[in-house]
Amino acid sequence: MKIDPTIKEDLKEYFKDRMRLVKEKVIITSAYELSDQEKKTIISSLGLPNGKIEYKVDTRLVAGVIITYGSKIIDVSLKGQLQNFKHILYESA
Amino acid sequence: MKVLDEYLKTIEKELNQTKREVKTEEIGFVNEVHDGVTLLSGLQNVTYGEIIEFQSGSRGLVIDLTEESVGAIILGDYLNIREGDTAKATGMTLSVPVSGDLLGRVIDPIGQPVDGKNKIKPEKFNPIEKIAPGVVFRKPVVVPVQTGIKAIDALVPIGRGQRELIIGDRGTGKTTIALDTILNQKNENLICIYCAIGQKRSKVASTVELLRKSGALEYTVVVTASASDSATLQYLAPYAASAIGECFMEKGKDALVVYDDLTKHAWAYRQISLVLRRPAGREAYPGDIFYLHSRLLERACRLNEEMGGGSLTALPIIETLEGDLSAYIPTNVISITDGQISLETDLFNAGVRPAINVGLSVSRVGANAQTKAMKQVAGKLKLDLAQYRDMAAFSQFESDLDEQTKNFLNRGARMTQILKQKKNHPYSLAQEVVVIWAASNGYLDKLALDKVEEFENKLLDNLKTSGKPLLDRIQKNKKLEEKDEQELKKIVLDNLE
Repeated sequence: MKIDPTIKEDLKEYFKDRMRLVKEKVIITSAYELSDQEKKTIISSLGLPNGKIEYKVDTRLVAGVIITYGSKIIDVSLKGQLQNFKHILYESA
Repeated sequence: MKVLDEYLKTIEKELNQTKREVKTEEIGFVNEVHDGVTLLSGLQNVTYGEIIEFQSGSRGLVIDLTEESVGAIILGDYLNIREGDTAKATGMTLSVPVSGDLLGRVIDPIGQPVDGKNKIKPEKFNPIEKIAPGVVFRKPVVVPVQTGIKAIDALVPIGRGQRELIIGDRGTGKTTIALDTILNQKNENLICIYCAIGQKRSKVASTVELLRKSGALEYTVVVTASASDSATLQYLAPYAASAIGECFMEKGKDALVVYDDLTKHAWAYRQISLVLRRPAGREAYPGDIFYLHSRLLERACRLNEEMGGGSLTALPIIETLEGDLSAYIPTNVISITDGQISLETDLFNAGVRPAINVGLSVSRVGANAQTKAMKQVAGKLKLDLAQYRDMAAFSQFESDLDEQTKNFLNRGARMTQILKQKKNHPYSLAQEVVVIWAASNGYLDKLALDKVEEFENKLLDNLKTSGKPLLDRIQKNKKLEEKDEQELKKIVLDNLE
């Protein structure tokens, strides 16, 4: 069966659109539920676009937040710091 | 404990700081894992050749950037990487730790010791991939590499900074030539690097043992990516060996790298390329297979005085099938190098060892590097052998030949005999010169062919004792003077009786 080339093009466009949405999506993972004030501080201090932000809670972080934006990640959680520390100790031992 | 205290102090200091640095990191997710290769999504700002770190602690090297995905080869163990794992860009390029400590060690391509000894203390890190020095930083090749193999030093001399290919079928003594060359560098001020690619571990172990026993390991570094290591490590091994060689070259020293062998290196790269779904070309090799070897061998060079005057000599090895020099990889490497030493199964089986095919072997720059003494005796040798090859075709009808042709054949047969040499038995320059001098001046013409070896041994033994001053003189002056020749003639004639 042959697929109409215009449909193919449309599909590609649609896919690209979806990819863009994924790329632009901001996820903020925190150790506990953030208060509105805290959310505002994070958003304003990092200059993130308001609106489409997903909040997640992961108690394994112990403290702090992880902000994911496209393929970028800002890790200011205690878990990340401890992991880093472990890594440095291992490398220098 | 002291180290821990220091860390605790630093942590305390950092905790007291009000402003903390926030680092943005680049991450991606593993989509596919193949043999030593992963495809990832994300990592939108990663650069080509950057190191990435997987969640499991393994590291990878980005070698493929496409519109949708990033391809990376995994250094070391890839079995603990799973789909969906995160990978972090580190912003570093791949480098090997280099230092003088490396001498006498056996390491893998990322600088980890595999000889069970201590970790290597790096002086600095040299990038694995490096653009070769430009034209203005180089100077002509004029200093010889004394291989200690008569046939090579006389007919296809190698200079420091040259790239000379050793090519031949399996079991023709390619590795032996390279190892004999390393063994002969004891007092020659040449640091050797032996890079084993895709070889059996048992073979690497016996090579290291041979080097150790002969006292050659103290000026040698062995870089190994064995057959059981991943294709990734086999692909990186020659570049790592080259980076180590460059470290010595930059210090103004001379270094020699043996790549044993580049056929397996090409196979490893073919595997990686096919898994990355790059288009396959001739013999299923990818399109950049030529660049793979040219960028490696181009790093061999002789630097000029301003750059320290060091050199890096390359002895790549290529294995052919059925003596076919016109296959893809052999022709590529032949065209890149400054000459080749061609080894043949027929010669090897006929007892001509090293089995060098004198007609097919050339050295394009080495002649300038030959010592005066060797030039004096080798000119005649080359001519005699060339005439011998011309006449050899007629040798079946010997009865019909005229006297002159018979003489050529006779001389040629003795020359071929005199170029034979036992393995792991390198000669000094003076020994080579003396033996070739005796043959090319026709002193052996009356000797039966099977007596030639006996004569050679006797002559060398005699020279070691009574002719020691003469040998030392030739070795020192690197020249054969008239008075030396007179003395030599007397000793040779004495031994012939």
